[in-house]
Amino acid sequence: MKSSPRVSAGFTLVELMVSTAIIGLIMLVLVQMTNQTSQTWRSTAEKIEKFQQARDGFESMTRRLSQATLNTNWDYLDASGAPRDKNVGSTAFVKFVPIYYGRTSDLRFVSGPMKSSAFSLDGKIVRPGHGVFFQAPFGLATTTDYAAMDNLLNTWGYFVEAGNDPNRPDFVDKAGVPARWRSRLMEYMLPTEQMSLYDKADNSYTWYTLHLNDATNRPVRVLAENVITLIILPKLSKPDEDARTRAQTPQAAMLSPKYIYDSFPIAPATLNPGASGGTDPGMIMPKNQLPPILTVTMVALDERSAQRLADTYCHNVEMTSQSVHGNQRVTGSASEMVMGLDVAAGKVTPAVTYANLFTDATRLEDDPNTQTPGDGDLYDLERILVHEKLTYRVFTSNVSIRGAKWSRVQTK
Amino acid sequence: MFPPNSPPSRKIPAPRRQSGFSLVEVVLAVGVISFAFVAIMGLIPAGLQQFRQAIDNSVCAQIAQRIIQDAQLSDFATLTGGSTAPYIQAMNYAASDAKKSNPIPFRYFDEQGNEIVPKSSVPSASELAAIVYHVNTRIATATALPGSSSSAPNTSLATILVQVAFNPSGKPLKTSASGGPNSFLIDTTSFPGGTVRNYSAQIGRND
Repeated sequence: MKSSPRVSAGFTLVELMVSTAIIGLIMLVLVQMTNQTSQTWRSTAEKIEKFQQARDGFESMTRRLSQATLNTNWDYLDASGAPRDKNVGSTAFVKFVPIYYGRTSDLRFVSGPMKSSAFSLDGKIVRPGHGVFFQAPFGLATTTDYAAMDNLLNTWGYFVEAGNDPNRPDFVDKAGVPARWRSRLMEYMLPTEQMSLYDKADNSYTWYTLHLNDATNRPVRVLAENVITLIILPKLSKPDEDARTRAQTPQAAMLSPKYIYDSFPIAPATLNPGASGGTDPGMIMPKNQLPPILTVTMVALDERSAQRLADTYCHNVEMTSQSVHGNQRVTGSASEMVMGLDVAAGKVTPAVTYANLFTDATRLEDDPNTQTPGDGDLYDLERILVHEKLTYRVFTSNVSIRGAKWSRVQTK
Repeated sequence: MFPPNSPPSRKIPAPRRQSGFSLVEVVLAVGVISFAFVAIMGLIPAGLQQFRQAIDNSVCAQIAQRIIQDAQLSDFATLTGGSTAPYIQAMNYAASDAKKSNPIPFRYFDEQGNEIVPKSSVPSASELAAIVYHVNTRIATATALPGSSSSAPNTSLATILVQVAFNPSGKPLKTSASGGPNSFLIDTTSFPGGTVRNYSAQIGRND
């Protein structure tokens, strides 16, 4: 074996340089691609995480809302449309004269703006947006005796409240750590044993307000932080709404033009113009009925935006009580309770009156009085949030209530 | 200089042999491969069609479910009230028709099952481009129960029939006139060869 006379044993310098350059180029492209991918990944993950809590809270809320129940039955009513007194042997019980046969229920469903007179709530606490209170078989009980009963009836509710962190331990506040002023989605969960529906007068709201404003041991927990408003619009199904629109103006055709819905209206006509009776085909009688559909809208901020809002607008934090954690009563100025958004609303052009937002249901998506499409209250709120350079997200869902059996039979 | 005791090289040049495939072999191999390939390719359209049909099925079911649920949440008297009993056609209204005075028989949905409300009573060309499903809903105001006389059906039980027509080309569909068991059903002569899926449910009066 003989080697050939001239064999190139290695690479020449030129070859090496060219190959290095090519490898370098490939590496550069690869690194850039990896970088970009990781960046996209991170920003997407951040975006998802940012509103994770709000999304979870929203899902839990809509799921529970769909289980609302009234458990109606038909019973004799007297001339005023009231059922027989529940105290057997009482004067009212004995003197009862049945005149009508109508739908009755011991349970209740209310929704509407939290500051409306329909909710006779303490004026010192302004709760932005709407609230909803209802009964459903969630089986929540505090005593172990009832723990095995999964379908016990509870009074449940959702609303938004601003204030210091109610879950903060006492000593943190006492140590002078500045308050964590935030707007939160609250879940009202009254254990079965405390349900007061049966021992209160029927036409009062004490079945939830009694404990809602308690200074201590409120049956309330934070479902999601940084939720600035909650809007609940009860609606009829499409066939009913169409039938009603044919007979009414579009405004009066709505199930709740002022967002207020009460399954036991004290004065139905003032709550709903369509509730006054008559022979129109889409007559609305919300008495002892659940709304068929709830359009639930929730606006959430990310933590950084909420912090900035609190730093800018919420200074005069005063707390009336600093009891054990979870039981704190929140008070603040009306402006602080809406995270200063009422102040911000005055700065946009054209200016918005924050208190007037979400009080007229015909304006939710679009103002019927203008030609511009999509210039409703939601758009106005978004204008304020954009002006304040806040990162926000709007969650919307149509919840159909399974227990709703909408009917216009029953006139009393 | 090689060491004298180096082992003799093992490489003995082989006698000249043909090292490739013959033409016959190649032709045979190509034949076999192409046969298999054609068979596999033939499966693709069938698979795609299956896939399309599966999507179609689920979207149609979703649409029908939504319409039936909406009907179940409605007042029974509103749902079954109408002059054309025993069969009533559920009506839709164009977006411009605020007073709901000009009913149209069909509801329109896009490929994902989202409703498209037409601006005027006849969908425009751009709306038709997005519309895939035309949905017709008929309600029988009374339902005959097994064992009972069919001449006096149960008036507290309505039967809702939802017809979902897969009509991406936007053919103008018609429904039969009132009268007989075919009242208000999609007229198949207006939709030759088209796919119409029927879904039905019973709705009881509950006051």
